[in-house]
Formats: sequence, C-alpha cells, structure tokens
Amino acid sequence: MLERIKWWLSRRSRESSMQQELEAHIACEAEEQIDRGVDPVTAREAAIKAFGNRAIMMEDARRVWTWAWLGHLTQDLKYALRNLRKSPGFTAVTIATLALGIGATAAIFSFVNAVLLKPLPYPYPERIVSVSEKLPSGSSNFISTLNFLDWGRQNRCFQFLSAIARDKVTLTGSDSPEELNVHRVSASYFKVLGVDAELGRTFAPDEDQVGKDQEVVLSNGIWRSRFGGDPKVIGRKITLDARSYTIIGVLPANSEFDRTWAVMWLPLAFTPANMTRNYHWLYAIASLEPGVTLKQAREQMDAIGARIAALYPDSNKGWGVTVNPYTDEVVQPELRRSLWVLLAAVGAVLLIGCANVANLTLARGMDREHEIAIRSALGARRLRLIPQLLTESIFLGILGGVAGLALGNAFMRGMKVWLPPDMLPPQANVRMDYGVLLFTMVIGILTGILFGLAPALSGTRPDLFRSLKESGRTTAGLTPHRMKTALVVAEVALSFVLLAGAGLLIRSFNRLASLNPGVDTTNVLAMDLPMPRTEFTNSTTLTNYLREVTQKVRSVPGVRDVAITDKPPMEGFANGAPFLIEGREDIPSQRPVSGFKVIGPSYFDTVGMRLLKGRSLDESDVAAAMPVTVINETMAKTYFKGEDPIGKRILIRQLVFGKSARGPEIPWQVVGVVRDEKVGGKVFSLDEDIPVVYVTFYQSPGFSNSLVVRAAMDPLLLSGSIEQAIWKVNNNQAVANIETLGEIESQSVAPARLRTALLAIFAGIALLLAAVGIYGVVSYSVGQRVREMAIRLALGASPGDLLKLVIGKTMLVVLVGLALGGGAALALTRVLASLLYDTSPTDGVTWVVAGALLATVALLACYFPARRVTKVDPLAVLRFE
Amino acid sequence: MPPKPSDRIELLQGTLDLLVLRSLLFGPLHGHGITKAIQRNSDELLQVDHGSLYPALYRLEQKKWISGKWQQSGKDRPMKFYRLTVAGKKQLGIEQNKWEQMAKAIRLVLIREVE
Repeated sequence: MLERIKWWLSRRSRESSMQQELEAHIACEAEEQIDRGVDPVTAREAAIKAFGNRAIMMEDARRVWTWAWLGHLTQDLKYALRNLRKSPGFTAVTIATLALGIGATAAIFSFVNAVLLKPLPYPYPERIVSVSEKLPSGSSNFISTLNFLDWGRQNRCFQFLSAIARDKVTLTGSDSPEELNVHRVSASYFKVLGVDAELGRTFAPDEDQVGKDQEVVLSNGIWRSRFGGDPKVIGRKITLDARSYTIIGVLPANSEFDRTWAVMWLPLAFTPANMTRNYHWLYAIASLEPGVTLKQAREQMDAIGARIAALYPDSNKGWGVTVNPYTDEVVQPELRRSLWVLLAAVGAVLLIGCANVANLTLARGMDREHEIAIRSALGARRLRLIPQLLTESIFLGILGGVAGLALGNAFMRGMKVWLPPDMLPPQANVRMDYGVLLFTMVIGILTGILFGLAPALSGTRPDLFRSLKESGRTTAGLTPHRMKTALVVAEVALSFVLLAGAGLLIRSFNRLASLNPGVDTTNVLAMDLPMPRTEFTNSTTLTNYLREVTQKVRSVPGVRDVAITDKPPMEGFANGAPFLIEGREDIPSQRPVSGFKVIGPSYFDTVGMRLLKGRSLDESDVAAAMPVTVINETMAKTYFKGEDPIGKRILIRQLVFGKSARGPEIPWQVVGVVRDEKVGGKVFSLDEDIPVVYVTFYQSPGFSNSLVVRAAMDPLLLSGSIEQAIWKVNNNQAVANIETLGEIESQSVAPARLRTALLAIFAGIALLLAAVGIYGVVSYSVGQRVREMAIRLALGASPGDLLKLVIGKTMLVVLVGLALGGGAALALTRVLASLLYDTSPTDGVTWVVAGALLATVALLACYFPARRVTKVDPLAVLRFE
Repeated sequence: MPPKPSDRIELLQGTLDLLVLRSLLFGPLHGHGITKAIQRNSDELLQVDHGSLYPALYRLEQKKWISGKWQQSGKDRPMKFYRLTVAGKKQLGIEQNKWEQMAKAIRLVLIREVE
C-alpha cells in the first residue's frame, strides 16, 4: 500500500521520464535512418510515423501504473469544472432542479425512515406486542380488569405484561390549576419497553398496589417546563386531584415520552370497585419471553381466552384475545400507506427533474459534438470519454445532493411544524440522521448517472465523419432526437400518474370535508372541564355543580346556549354500551353495541341537532325520574326497522358513579329520535354512521365532562368571560382545550388534508417540470430545423402549416405519454383505494380532468417555442448557404 | 532483405514479456535496443508494436523483474537501460518453460488434425 502511494506521488517525474524515453527512442530511430542517408527532417518524420500514436501509448502505459483511475478522476474533475464554469446558466438550472427534487425526496424520506424503517426505539422492539380483547366480530376492544388479571396470572409467554389507562388529572398547589394528561400504568410498564429513568427510577414491582400507588414519573418535557429542570426534584411531593404524590423519576430527554399524549405516568392500582369483567377500559402491552414467538404467544392467549369464555359465558362468550406486534399498533396502516405513496410521488418528481436535466445535457452535448468528435479523432477511446462525461454529471448530481440536503432539512422542519399533532407516532423521531444523509448522497450520485448516461452514450457514438463534416450546420442527429422524444414521453407519463393520483385525493378530500357533520358549527365553542374525582363524594354534588356551571355560563352576555356533554361533537365517545331492546332474544356476550353519550338537556339545541320524532331530553329527566333516552337516526333505522321506537325500552347496564365499573341493568325508555351527528375521533372514521343513545348527566353522572357554548358572535372572544363565570362557581376548576367546533371539524380531516396538499404540490411541480421539458425540446428542435423550415417556406408552405407540423408532432409524442401514463396510473392508483373516501380509483371525471390539464399545458408549452417557425425569414436563412 | 510488412507476424498475446526478458539476458538494453534485438533475432519476422512495448516494460518494471536506469549511451544522449533482475531471471525460466510446453502441445494438436 505504502509503495502504491509512493508510486502515486512520484507520478509527475515518472511521466516526464516516460516522455524523455519515448523521445530518445524516436531519436535513435531517426539516427538510423540518417545513417542510411535519409535527410534529417524526413528521417524524423518517418520515425514519428513509425512509432504510432504516442498519446494512446502513454495512456496505456499510465494504465499499467497503479491508480491510473485516480489520475483520470482528477483530470476529469478538472475538465468538468472548466466546462461547468463555461456554462453557468446550465450549471445553475441543473443544480436548482436537482436540489429541489432531491430535497423534497430527502424530506419525505426522513419521515419514512423515522416512522417505517427504523425499529421502535427500545432495546428489544421486536419482542414488544400489544394485547387486547377480541370481540366476537373479530375486531379489537379494550380489556376488562378481571380478564386482564387472569391473563397476567395464567400466561407463560410474556416476560412482562402491563395495562395502560388514559386519564386526566388536575395539578394544584402552585399557579392556576392545570389539567394534565396522564397514563396510569402497571408497575411493569417501563420493563415492557426496556426504558429506564434518566433521573431517579421508574416503578418498583409492587407500586401498583392500592396504598403504594402515590408515586409519579415525569416526562423530561414537563420536568423542564413545570419543574425548571431541577435535579433535586426527586422526592418532591405534588398534588394531583387533591392527592399527594411523590416524584420518583424523570424520563429521558427527546424520547417518545416527550412527544406522546401523556406528560406523567402514575401507577394503575385496581380498587375493589374496578374488579369487573364487563367494563372494558384498559389497553395492554407486553414483552415476549425470550425465545417465545408471536405465533406461540397467540396460541397460548387463544387458549387462555377460550378458558375464560367457558368459565364466564355471561360476559365473555365468543370473546378472545388479540396479540399483535406493537409496531402495527404504533404505525397505523393509513399512515404507512400515505408515507409510501408520498415517497413514490416525490421520487417521480425527481425522475421528471432528471429527464429535464438529461434533455439539457443532450442539447449541450450536441453543441459539444464537434469537440468530442475531434477528441475521438485524436485517439480518445469511447471508454475514456464516457467516464469523462459521466464525471461531469455525477459531479453535478453530488452538488445537487448537497444543496438538496440543505433544502430537504428546511422542508422537513417546515413539515414538522405544519403537521397536526398526533399524526406521527411519538416513537418516531424525524430528523436528518446518517441514514437520511447517506440516502440523499446516493440519490444524488444515482441522479447524476441517470441523467448523464444517455447523453454520454449517444454523445460519444463514433460517427466522426458526419460530426466533423456537418459541424456547425447540422440538421440534428437522429439518436439524440429519439432519446429526447423518449424523455418527453416518460415525463408526460409520470406527470399523468401524479396528476391522476392528486386529483383522486383532492376529489375524495372535498367529499370528506363537505360531509355534513350533523351539527351547526358556526359560533360554537367547546372546552373540557376536568373533574378531580376526590372533590365530589356523591353524584348529587356533581350534578348540582354541573347545573350551576351551566347556568352561570348561560348568563354571560353574548352566550346563546350552553350544555354539558361527555365529549364534544366529532371527538368520539366517552363510553360505548352493549344493549338489549326489551322483549328481544338475548345472547349476553353478543349484544350489539351503541355509543352511550351523556349530555346536558340543552345539548341538542346548543349544537343544532334536529329532533326528528318525540321529545328532547329536558331538565325534568333527573336522577329520581324514570330513566329516558333519545336515540339517533342510525339507531332507530338499524334496530327499530319498521317500528316506532318511541316508548320502547332499551336495557343497558348503568355506569356506576365514581368507579370504572358497570352496575345493574336498567331500562331506558326511548322518548325521541334525533338526526345523526358525526362521531369521528380516534376510533371512528368521520364517515361512519354509528348508533347512539343519549341520556342526561342527571341520570348517568360521570367525570368526563366538557362544555359546548353557542355564542351570538365569534365565540373565541367570549372564552375569557366564560372562564371567569366558571371560576365564580369553583376557583379550582381547570378549563382545557378551548376550541371552536369549526377547528375540531377541520382537525378531523387533517391527515387527509395533509396528504392531499402534499400530493397536489408534487403533482403541480411535476406538471411544471414536464412543461419546461416540452418547451425545451420543442424550442431546441425548432432552432435546429430553421434551415429546413426556411426551405419549406420557400417551396410554398404557409407559416400555419409549419406550426401545425411542429405542434402536431410534439402533441403526438405527448399523447403517447398520456396513454402510457394512463396505463401506469390504472395500475398504481389502486394503492390509493384505501385512502379514498367515496371515490373510485378509476373515477372518470378525475382522469379526464387530469388528462385535459396535462394536454393543455403541453400544448401551451409547445405552442410558444413553435411560434418561432412562423417568423423564419427564408431569404435571410438561405442566403448563408 | 527484410521481409515485406505483410510477411511479418503479429506477436501472440502474452509472448511479449517472454521476448523482452529473453532479450535482456545478455545485458542491459534500452527500449529501442530491445525492439531491434527482437527483430534481429527473429530474422525480422517479429515486429514489436511500440504501443505495447513500453506499457509492457513498465509492467515488468513494476513486478520487479527488470529494473530501469538512465545512462549515457554512445551518442551522448541519456537513454533508459533495462536490466534483468534476479527475480526476472527466474521468471524467464518459468515463461520459457511455459512457452515450450505450449508449443509442444500445439504441435501435437496440429499433427493429429492432419492425420
């Protein structure tokens, strides 16, 4: 190795030594001739001629020496730099096009990398699974306490199994009361994930037992924002829901725990009241015992589920257990698909960009044809010229990659700001890491090869005779022309695929966004009222409190109406309930399920839901009165087909006040039917029609309460006075998540909006690039054919004929591209099917519009440069002949 | 009289190394001298192509079978003289052996074909 480096370093002296040696050889040869009596000049000429091509010989000699390629590379780079500096316009346009394409690709790839390619950020991500109950229908469901405890005791497949419940607590004791999202988890939770605290510790094995559960682990984020990053925070006591908790640990910085919904982790201790089998409220995750496969775990849990179902048929008949890789839970299929589609789209944009640059390079190659021809005539071999030309384009590709990296970083940051929260899993840490860096540079080099190869191959085709003869006054060579046509076809085809895809998403999004939410969203404000459980010892104090809050807020000037609800519209349900219509056949474990929404009597008026039949709920439907319900249209249509639901009774287990449990079954008499409101939220898609029963909070009080307020004006202006009114009732009442219904509605379609907007932007860029490409090709070929056009004019063609000739030819190419693109789109848009709402992937209107748009743009892009043929002056052109 | 160019024989692939090594067996020579020696010793039948001679020389030099040195030649012009090294002498033996076996093999094949 060392020797080789020495060789390499001494190449200059060796080079001159070689020169001298060859010179000496020729001199010897000449002297021999002179000795034979030839005159010196002729002798020398003869010697040189006999020696042959000295340049090629030296080339061959150099190849013998090691690392000749390095010599070539530096030589080629110098050559490339010189050339690029000579045409700054070409260089700038190329680098800008590549930087845009590569930058967008790098940005999207950074998301794909973080969300789809990287394993979850745990020591043994492949061993973590999510566990849930399986309904008779096969879909997953929350877990009941007793089922969960049985799983924990009976399984031999999980190393650790942890339950998780979402909750909200109110932090008091300093500043104003603050509502915080928390996860209540089993003590083994952090063992499942294999994550340790950065400061202090996580839960010890018995700390999820009642009495030992007053400890809290903080996220790094809240530790810094709320506790000033104080390292002595461990051991400090804080008050949550009026109970004292000790801080025992702080989780790692910049981890998923800083990006997730919860900011604190509390132990999940089951009280005797929780010990039921029919109230489903828990999530669970588990880590597989080392050596246990997913299949084995599934088999074992199936057996356990079957055993429980046999023992407790009333609650569990037909129910089972679902075990899935945790990754599948974290990355939902819709997100997975959206990301791949976007990466493919941005890749297509990059390809179109490449085609454009290839076109430019081809055009430049024709200008350089003469130079290349001379170089080959002097003995340059094709295998030496192609790398030389490729070096130039790869160098450009690398420059584009570097610029693209900077741009991509900016794009990625912008997108992260723009992304709605919760859209990405918290585990995904999107950033420009080495993987993305490497990917980007490889893409840069590949682009360089891609756009450089075609021009390099065609540019060095050994057709010296024609090149040299026709230099300067060519009628463009055939091969590059064919290649340009192919490039245009590819551009048009790719653009069409993107346009069709974007069109489909736009159409679907419009339909989704214009879905009637079933409520009147104008001037309605929603806010959460978290209730510390400990403050209300019985249901009467709670219902009185809620009534008082409602009345105080109603008296605020500008407020038209106000109501309590357990969930604002389009934010899902607080509860679902299995039900039985009185008098029908009952299979306890297979009862149908409806939404169970607890509201204040004024809810329907406040959010503008129309009563279809019977009466609304009212203030007389109190705890002591007969339990009544208003059902929605879907419920009436699905379960009271051809019957009048009014007066029928629906059996539903009561929610027990203050406990995560269900009480005895009570009959709810149907008094009215309302039109559907869209449920949405995390679990249901916005377009699902779900049966719902509505009851008053007097008859089913609970701790999940929000307020909806209809105002006479912009409701956000009233938020301050509404808060003041609430605090007049209770100074410690936190008010959280103040949003208008309009905002909630727009958030509910945010993921669809985002992917639609991104794909539309990519399609727009593609269209623009394709137009630039067509413009370039037409204007170049017109420039090349001026002579031919002049002759045609001189022979009597009209300018209009020429225009038709040029445009017709180009549009034919465009049509071929459209046809190919149509075929590709037919195959590719199918992957969009699951992302489309009420829109077929072969939606005729979208396809026609996309095709027409592309054809129009193409026509314009070729009309403007083609117009030049009409201005050709045959006399001026032909005089030069 | 030297043979007409058409009578000359193109060197077989891989034989140039052997011929160069052999030419140097009786003392150092420069590139031109090697050409002449090969031509002379083959009764002008073998023609050395300069395009392959020098690359071959550099290759042999790199393999340390020959070593080159600049020296004054008779006509007060410095020339690069190549000398056979010890390793080169050994290599010459190997190459010569290989060639003889090859020639023998080819002759056998040719004779059989004629029969």
